[in-house]
Amino acid sequence: MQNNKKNAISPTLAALYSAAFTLPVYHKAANSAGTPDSSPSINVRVSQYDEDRLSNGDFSGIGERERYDIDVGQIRVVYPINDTMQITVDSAYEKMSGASPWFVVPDVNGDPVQVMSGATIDDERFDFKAKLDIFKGQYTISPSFGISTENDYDAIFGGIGIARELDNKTTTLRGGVAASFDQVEPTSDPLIDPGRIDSDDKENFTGYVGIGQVINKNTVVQSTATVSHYSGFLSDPYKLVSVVGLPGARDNRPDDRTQYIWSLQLRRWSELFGAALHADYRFYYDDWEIRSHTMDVAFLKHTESGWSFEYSMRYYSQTQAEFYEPFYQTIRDDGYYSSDYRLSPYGALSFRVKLAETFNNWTVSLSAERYISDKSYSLQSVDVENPGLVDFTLFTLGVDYIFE
Amino acid sequence: MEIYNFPFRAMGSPCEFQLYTSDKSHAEQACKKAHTEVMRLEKKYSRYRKDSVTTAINNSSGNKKGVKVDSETALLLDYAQTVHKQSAGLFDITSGVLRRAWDFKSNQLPSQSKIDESLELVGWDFVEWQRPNIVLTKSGMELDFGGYVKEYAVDAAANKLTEHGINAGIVDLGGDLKTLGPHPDGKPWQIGIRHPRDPEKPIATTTLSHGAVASSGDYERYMTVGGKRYTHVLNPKTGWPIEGFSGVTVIASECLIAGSCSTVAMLKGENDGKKWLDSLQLPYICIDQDMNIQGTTALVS
Repeated sequence: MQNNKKNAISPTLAALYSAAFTLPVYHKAANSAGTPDSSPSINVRVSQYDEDRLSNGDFSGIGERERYDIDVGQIRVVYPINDTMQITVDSAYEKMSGASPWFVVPDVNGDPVQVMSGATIDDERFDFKAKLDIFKGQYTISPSFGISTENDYDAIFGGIGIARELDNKTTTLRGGVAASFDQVEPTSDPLIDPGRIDSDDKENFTGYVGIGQVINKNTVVQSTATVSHYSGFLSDPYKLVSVVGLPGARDNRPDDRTQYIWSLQLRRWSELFGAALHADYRFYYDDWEIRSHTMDVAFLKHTESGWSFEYSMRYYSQTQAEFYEPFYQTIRDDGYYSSDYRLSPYGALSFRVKLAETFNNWTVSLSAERYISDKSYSLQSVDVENPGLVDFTLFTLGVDYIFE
Repeated sequence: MEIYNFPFRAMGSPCEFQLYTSDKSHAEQACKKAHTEVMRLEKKYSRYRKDSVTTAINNSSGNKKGVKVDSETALLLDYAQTVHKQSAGLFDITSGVLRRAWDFKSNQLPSQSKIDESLELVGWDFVEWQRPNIVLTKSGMELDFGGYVKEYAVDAAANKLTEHGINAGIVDLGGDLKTLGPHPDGKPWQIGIRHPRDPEKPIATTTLSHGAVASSGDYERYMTVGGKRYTHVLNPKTGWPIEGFSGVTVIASECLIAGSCSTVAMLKGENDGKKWLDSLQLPYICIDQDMNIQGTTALVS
């Protein structure tokens, strides 16, 4: 085999390899993109999302202690219209009940404790989204449109994505733009919270560019850069803040927010384990000065009898928004206040297992996820933890069917 | 670790999976999946089956609209087109119609006019291939995936076994093979290279831990007329059997690549074939009509 090592690969052999390489057998790690599915399919998901009740140390004793429980039903239908077009329709229905964090006050020791909303909130949400994929030579053009509606919130959104497969068929370039127009109409509660706004709106524009590269038959990497701009009413209309010298102060955030996101995804097929390994990293930064890192690793194994197992773990850490405090000792000059735990500094860990069995055209799957957030998981040291940090458990049952 | 054998017949050849396992039922399940994959490809591309993709394409010959093909077939057509180009037209999946002229059981040479008649229908250039549509522009033309689908099936079966966590074993479809990794003790597999005049015996042996081996030869079907040997390997440009090597074996990471390279080398004949093999820089063995062996030093010695 000495001949093998002398020179670079011959052009003839390179041509044969790159033609062979496009066959699915030779790139197990790659996602097949650029052609419609061969048959219509339907996926149904039923989920139960259950937030832990507030712990004794975090609860002020005011309001309902039980947090959100959300039941979710989702249906996805993928329908190849012809050889060059495919439509994907997603619809979801959510029913939520429970209390949500209202504001944070210091307890007798000066530690923050959470005041919850008084009564259980019941709400429903309905989402609908349709996407058309048009396959035209090297290009896939995907316009999409959707609406989302709940009691106090309506959104309408749309976008267009373009993917281009380069001649070598191992490189895919992607780009797209999307916009969303949302209207907030909080339910009024003049007795408890008379200062709540009646109605306001916000809008979002997002653009992204990305590249996917098949490195070799077992490895694919993908990288995406996204910029997203929000403007309008970006505060939480239901939340108050406790500010010394400013009774009844409301959650009040800037009217603009620009987010920058960079993500890197690695998909690798391991010959050794006969399994797929996924590793994703995401860096996020916004001009509210929140910076976050997300690491996600997953291990997927198929067994000979049609079972598949997926184990995954996610780590998340973020810094706080510039104007965030659990409660405020002084009045801010800019007038921005928020004690929302989502703007606080913290870290989170999530563990997920998924089990699926495929037989004939059916796949049934069951997954469980446990998510815990804590100041101690943060990459930087956090002095004061927000008492409203959420822990939750999520169970999902899925049934997929492919028509033939 | 025990060795587990799974023999079967497919694609007109004796086939076998051999793998090491500590769990026999696991091995059995894996082999069944890999076997199903081989049978799927046989069924899909057989030119003898009425419901095959090949038959659907061939039945459309002369029809200007042609037929639409699925994405796997499209990629196999792209591959055939690439090999056609890289072999300067010698690898041609339209050449199967020459079988109408050549009957190797008859021990009689066909008339030149009969060959010319079939030759009219041979030529990838008469195929209009624009994904997802294929048009065979001349009525009576035929495609034959037989020249490379067996090697593709070797890779596909090996892929299935690997997906089931098998990492010591070998897939053998009628002498075209791919390893799933060496024996559990790390020793490579011993691979026999068929003797072109005594196919039951090896003319040489080689070792292989990872990768695939494929062979082409003049020995599968032939006839002797007037003391001269005429093989079933036909030159798509002349319509006549090739003269040159009696066998070529190539080693590559994938069986599909090894198979295409050995087939093209056979078609090119001794001088050009050897030059071509050298330019590829893949390990190979070629055997001339006098049973002299040449090729990559490490393999020949």
